[in-house]
Amino acid sequence: MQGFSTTYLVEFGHLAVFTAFLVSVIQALAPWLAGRFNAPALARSGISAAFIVLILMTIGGSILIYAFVTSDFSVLYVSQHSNTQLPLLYKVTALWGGHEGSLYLWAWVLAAFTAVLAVQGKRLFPLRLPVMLSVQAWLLLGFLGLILFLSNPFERLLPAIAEGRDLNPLLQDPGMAFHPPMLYFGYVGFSIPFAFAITAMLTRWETTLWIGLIRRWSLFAWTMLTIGIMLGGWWAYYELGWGGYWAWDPVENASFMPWLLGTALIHSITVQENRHMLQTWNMFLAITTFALSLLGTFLVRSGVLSSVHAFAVDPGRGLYILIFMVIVLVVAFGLFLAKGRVDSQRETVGSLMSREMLFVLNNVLFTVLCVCVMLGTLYPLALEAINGAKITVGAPYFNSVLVPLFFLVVMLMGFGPATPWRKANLKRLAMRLLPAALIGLVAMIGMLVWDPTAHWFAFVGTGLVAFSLMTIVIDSVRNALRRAQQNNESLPVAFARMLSRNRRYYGGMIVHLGILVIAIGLIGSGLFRSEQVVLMAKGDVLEIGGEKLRFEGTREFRKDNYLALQGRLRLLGTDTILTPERRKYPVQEAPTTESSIDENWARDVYVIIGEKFKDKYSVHAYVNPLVKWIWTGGLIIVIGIGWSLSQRLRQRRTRSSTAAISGTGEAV
Amino acid sequence: MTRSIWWIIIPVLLVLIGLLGYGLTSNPKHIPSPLIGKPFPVLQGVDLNGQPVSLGNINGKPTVVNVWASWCVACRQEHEVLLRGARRYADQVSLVAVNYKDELADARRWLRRLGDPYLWSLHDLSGRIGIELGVYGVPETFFVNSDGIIVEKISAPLSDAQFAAGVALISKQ
Repeated sequence: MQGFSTTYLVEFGHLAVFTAFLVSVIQALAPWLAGRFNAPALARSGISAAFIVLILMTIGGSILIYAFVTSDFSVLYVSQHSNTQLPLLYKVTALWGGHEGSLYLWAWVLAAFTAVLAVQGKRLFPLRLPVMLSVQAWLLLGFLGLILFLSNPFERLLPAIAEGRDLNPLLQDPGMAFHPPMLYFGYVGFSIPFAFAITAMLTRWETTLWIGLIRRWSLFAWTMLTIGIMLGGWWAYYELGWGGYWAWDPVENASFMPWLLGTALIHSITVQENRHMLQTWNMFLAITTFALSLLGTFLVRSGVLSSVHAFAVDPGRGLYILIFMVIVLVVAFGLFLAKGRVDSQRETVGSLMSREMLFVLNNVLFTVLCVCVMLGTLYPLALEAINGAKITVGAPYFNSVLVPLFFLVVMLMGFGPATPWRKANLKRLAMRLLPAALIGLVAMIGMLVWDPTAHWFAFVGTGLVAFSLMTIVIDSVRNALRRAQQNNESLPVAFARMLSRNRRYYGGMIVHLGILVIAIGLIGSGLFRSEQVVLMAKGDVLEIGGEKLRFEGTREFRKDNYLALQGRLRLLGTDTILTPERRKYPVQEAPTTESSIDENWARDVYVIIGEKFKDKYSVHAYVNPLVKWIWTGGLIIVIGIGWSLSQRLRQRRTRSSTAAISGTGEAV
Repeated sequence: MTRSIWWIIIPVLLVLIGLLGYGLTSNPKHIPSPLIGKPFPVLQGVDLNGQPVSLGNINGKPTVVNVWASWCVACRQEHEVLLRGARRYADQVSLVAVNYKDELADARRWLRRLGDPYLWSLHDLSGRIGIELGVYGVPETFFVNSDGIIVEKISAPLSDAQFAAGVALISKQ
């Protein structure tokens, strides 16, 4: 049983969060109070408030984690999502294993980002900072209100029970442990561009002066969202045992929509940094991307849509988040409609064949993609509202609508590096693209010859991916060669220096490379997978997708907090033994399947073991080509972003340029 | 930016908000069965004691058909509701069951331990009956009126209120 001290500790944590709520009120009102009483010192109090809120939220969060680690089941939330047998890592990550804790994490991350913003703002835009912190504080208040009044993770269960209900076994997995926080870093990260946009409209702050600052935040948020989505897919792939990684489930779409619009935002920021255009559009994107993050949170946490992500649902909480979201949307878009035109466009797209035009097309495409995902996600709800029919919109809609659009995106990616700003010389452009286009054509024909029966996605996709990949490679090699010639360097040195001097650009190219590698994986695994379900006795051999599997029996054992039945299948011709498991978690009485995967660059052999029938077991086997490329592509993206963001470190070190800082600093 | 953008953003927002608000009031787990309004199919088999029983021809009395399994966690929670409901409405409805994809011994042990609210449970080891009824998850419950017409189907653990509402639906006439 827990001692007195822990009991008070939990109450102390609760009190800390309540105090954080009150301090946030000060932070939210600071700039208005300062204006009203003509006391600038009051505005500065908002900055201190941001730090105090973070400290208080950290106290609350740490105490919750402590309660999980020490299995303090007098805390209702802990008793529902943890268990003494749970491994330590999952005790910690169980914090976000349920509704209350997830929201707490959201608010905690928001407080943390706000504090970072305060540090950055004190140096770069001290006059605007209080307003911006106020925007963040209003958002935080929305979430803290929900946490304190409707979904309180500090709620007690007295007398305490002896043993907790355990964490959902599906969540007891490293991929799942870090999937939600990454998504939240992404969602919450987009609150910063949002706060910039709102502040700009309130204080008539010229976009040009801050657009460079939100670039890094947006890239960070986008990367976190990317990692979160990839982790979710990875987890679904090896843990859920259906051989896939993406199902166009409403909850998946909820994270995909801000990702799509965030992608548009990152690109349109780049345009504005290079040319004086798209200011209003950027403002719109910054607001809408965050609005979609809120929508994502709402869709996940309210349970309005039928989803495999069956979270416990409470309509009261759903209503709260909806009202909160409506307030944010109305205020943000109201401001945008009234004052969105902070400064006007000084340039326009001069030529249809220019890099800015490609960027504009990129933005159009990503916006359309986002709208299509939203339509597919909300259509069942709309139909039900109109005539009561219950339907789900599945993969066929999304694939047939979105994949062709993604092909266009891939094509743009190929044109990008070869097309200069302002105006391209059509003839020169054609010459530059010709080699890559030829290789693309060869790849397409190769695909046709290899498998003429495949879906048209396969030919077109392969051709376009090869084309874009080649334009990036050819363009980089060309630039390196030119540099080698000019500076009299050897080619590898020139190549390395080229990558290092223009990290922003080449970081971006590396990200594109990662996307293309993912595309290869998607084409391979999406269109060419084989699947079989068979009953196997000991010694039986299963042939699938060119691989042979021999069933060598099963064994049963007990480990940590579960019982397992493990099958053994030998991949003939190799030493590999696949060991799929079915686990039973006694406390939750829930079974899970653990797939066993043998992966290499060509294919994954993916096996799960099912029910026993007499002396045979049902074995579900897949051969999924090129899946490894998807995860590798994700890794390449992260490397690319890191490279791109390291530009400023380099500049600081070499003191050669202060453009990134002073050029975008405050000039009031 | 022209004023025309108002005419895009505002309706889009209104529709979105309206939809989501509507979504809160509806339950995505509630899926109407195509069987509603149709006669309950005549299905025959044996119960847990080996006696032949027949679904769909149930003495002209309103009937509640519950699909359960001993391996189903949610059924355990629902079982209390069924025990109470069967007692309370014994003179208005009969409660029968399909025991779905279950080992005989497990099913008997479950009823011995938790109590047996059913007149009988049709033993559907292979899941064939389940397919006929369009069962996609246990527990599921059908409310059948005295004409043998399926009036309501609920694909989730029942609450007391749902049980009472279902009984009211099939016993009024």
